[in-house]
Amino acid sequence: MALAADIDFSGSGFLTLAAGNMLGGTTQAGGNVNDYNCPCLPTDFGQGGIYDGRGGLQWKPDSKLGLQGSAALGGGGLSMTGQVVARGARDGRVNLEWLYGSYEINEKFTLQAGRKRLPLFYYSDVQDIGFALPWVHLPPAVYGWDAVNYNGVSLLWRSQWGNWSSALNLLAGNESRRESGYYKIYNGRQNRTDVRWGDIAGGDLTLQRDWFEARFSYLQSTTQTKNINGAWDATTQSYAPATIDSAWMPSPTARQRVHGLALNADFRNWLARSEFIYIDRPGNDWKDFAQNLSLGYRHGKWQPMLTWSNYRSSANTRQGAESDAQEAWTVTSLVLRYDLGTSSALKLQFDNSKDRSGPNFGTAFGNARLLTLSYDLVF
Amino acid sequence: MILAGLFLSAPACADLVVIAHPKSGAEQLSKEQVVNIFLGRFRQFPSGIAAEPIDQAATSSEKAVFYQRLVGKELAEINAYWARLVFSGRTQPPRQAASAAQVLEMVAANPGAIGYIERPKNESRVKIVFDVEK
Repeated sequence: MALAADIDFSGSGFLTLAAGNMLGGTTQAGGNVNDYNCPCLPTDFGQGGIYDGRGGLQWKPDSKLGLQGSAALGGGGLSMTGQVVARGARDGRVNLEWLYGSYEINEKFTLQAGRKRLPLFYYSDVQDIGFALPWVHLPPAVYGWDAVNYNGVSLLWRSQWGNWSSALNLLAGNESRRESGYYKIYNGRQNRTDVRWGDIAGGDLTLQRDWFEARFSYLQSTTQTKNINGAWDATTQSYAPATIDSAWMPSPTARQRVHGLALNADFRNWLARSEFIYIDRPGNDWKDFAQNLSLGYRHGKWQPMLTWSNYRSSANTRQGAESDAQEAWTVTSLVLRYDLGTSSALKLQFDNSKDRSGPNFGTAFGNARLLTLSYDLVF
Repeated sequence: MILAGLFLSAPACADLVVIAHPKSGAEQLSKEQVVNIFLGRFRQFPSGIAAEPIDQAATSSEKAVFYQRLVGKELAEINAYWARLVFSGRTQPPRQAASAAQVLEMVAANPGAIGYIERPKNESRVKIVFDVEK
């Protein structure tokens, strides 16, 4: 058993139990939008988590249980890590989120290969770890995309410049996702759309000093979708057969470019979070702009925080569409967090979503007011 | 912060210091360097030796006071911070010792180890590299 003696296993996990109730809102389409009984508020685009006006108390969109195991192989800096997550938004099905090998070359460089989270945004790495987040759910205006993981390689370089520390993470890979949750939100709850991101390349640079942190990110990839079983048709109020989009669309040479900036501060009892995203998707006809700004105050075990988040898309006029009056919405959120111990917390969140979409965007979800309560635990 | 102070035995950790091995090459560390090592941002002594931070027990008053004085955070906030790094595979939290005496032993035995304890008296096996101010 000499081999077993050289492997050091460790396990950990996380749990979020969340229940939400739609308090009210308005919708422009008689309530039924994309096969959802609106008012609606999508809270997890990547997994298709959406609260609607039909269900009363709903626990599925944000509840999840994850288990992570790591095995350190010998003492040479080599390890394997896997993480599986079961979530209500996927009817309890278990997904493999992470499975990667890691080699710590030295204290400055770490090389990883396998399946990992795509670090598009500041909180992407922990978007499932409720205890690590100041919200019940991440601001959907920013955290609203169709791919959240990738298969590939990454290199992390840590350094220190005077009193600043820096971490540069470079990555390359691909992602293929069956039955995208994102497209269930836009094409209907029974829709199946598969997603392919190819030639993913990019990275992020984090600079920290004392209470201040800045993160710059850039990522590019090809992006394609394939509609397998048809999207919801608002006119007929039924699912149209997938005849037009049954091939991979658009051309595989069309690239998207994701630019991100996050500026954070933890100054004494105050915390500020901000994130700014600009996505140029010439092949998909769209440009996307998203921001969120948060200000919170820590008082012992209590932490109230106010967040404003905004999303706006603009059509690419050279594709023949009207550039303005497309999808747009703003969410204002108030969260009260209470730490039960050092590893669990309760959060109460009120979201007020204002739909500002214009007449050129057909499937607006309308305004929504949502109240959610969560219990988060890490173990 | 006031609440934390009420529950902790303040006199027991009135004078916390960060200690390292004499062969770490470190004479004195800045607050930012200590923060970088203990929060996993950059774990290297100025001499180039890899730094291996050691925490006191999770329930110890020393640990709560150390992070409160160093970065002004409660242990729940520190744990939330580590949840972000551990579950993303970026780095691991400091190893945890069972007692202050064990921290002293571990630092005395390893040139890369760095820990925090009550200011030791007549202890030549380790070097004080940072005063954790109140």
